[in-house]
Amino acid sequence: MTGFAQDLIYAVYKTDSWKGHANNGLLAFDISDPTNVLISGSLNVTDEIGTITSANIVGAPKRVELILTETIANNNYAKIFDVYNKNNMKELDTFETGRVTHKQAIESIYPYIIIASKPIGESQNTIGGIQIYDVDQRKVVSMDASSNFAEPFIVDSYLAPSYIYMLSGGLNPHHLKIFHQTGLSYNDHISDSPGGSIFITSLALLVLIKSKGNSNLI
Amino acid sequence: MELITVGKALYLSSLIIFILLPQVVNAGITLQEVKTIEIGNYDSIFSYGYHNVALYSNQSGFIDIYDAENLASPTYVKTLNVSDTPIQGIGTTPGSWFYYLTQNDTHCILNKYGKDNEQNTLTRSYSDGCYDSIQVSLEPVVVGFHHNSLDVYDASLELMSSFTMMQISQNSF
Repeated sequence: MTGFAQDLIYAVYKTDSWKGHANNGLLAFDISDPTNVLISGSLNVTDEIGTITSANIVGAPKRVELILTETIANNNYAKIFDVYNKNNMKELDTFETGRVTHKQAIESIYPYIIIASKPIGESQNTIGGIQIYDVDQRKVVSMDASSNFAEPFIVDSYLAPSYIYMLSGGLNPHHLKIFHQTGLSYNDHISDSPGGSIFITSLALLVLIKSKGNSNLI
Repeated sequence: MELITVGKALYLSSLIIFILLPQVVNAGITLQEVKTIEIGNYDSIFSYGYHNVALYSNQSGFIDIYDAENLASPTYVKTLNVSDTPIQGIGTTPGSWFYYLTQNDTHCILNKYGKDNEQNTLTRSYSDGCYDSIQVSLEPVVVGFHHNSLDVYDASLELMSSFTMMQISQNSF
């Protein structure tokens, strides 16, 4: 697989406490020369980055969007950034999600982003659901919280060809639920290999927090 | 009488549409549950190798391996006891390796695990803690993040470079 994305790692950092709104930034690190890491791009996100709960990248290598989910005052949101041009990263969209309870609760397969979350507006005790966002249509195309997903927490997911694995947590017993999916087909004109976008997610990121004591937020 | 018959037909149609058929969550997108496996207390699922799916808990050093060649019905293979301390994070590669992070009272330990049970271990100490997470890129290159810095390792876990954001984070841009 070729493309610049494999040489970049993204990070979000905050220079103030997590409640602050100053100096929130999105950084792209160029690791093409591992002996000399450089910051190759940056984006100032001045406000409303809350506690980052999850992050993922979709569409690499020819189109790269970074997805963050966050909690702000008990509400969860996902922010989409265009990071294709590392010198001109842009925020594209923000949409409300359910409660994203785990930092690994996002999978992506172009053009879809699959978020495992609580239903919008529901409490922790309600069942989990699967939210699907279409990056081409730039909107949520599905939010399902049916009894099919009757688990109080979805802590992680794995997207395989034609299947979605959902790992539940919270109340015992825990389950690995396997769903056959149709209709979520990625565009192989975008990704160079079937595993491309999935693999690139391993490039993803985390929160770098300058203030001591904030490392437990993620 | 006909009205009752029509009503029954509509009711049965509704049952078929909403219960018997796979649940339609969006036009063109369907999700149908095909299997549920009762498992222990795990926090994360990842894949490695060609058709392995693995589960691990942040509370232990155990990893359960499943053979997922048949994606609809993965089968339990074995449990790996990779560490005496909890696994803090995992970075996977397209190949047969994965990297995982553990921590004991004094050291942050970056480990490498492969299908042949070959295992390299790197001990990395910090005065103020361990990595918060690791990520794996192609090569592979392993990156450990810790507060305001990141360290880059090659595939053999030799440290190649370090980067500290302190001078950057003082800027507002």
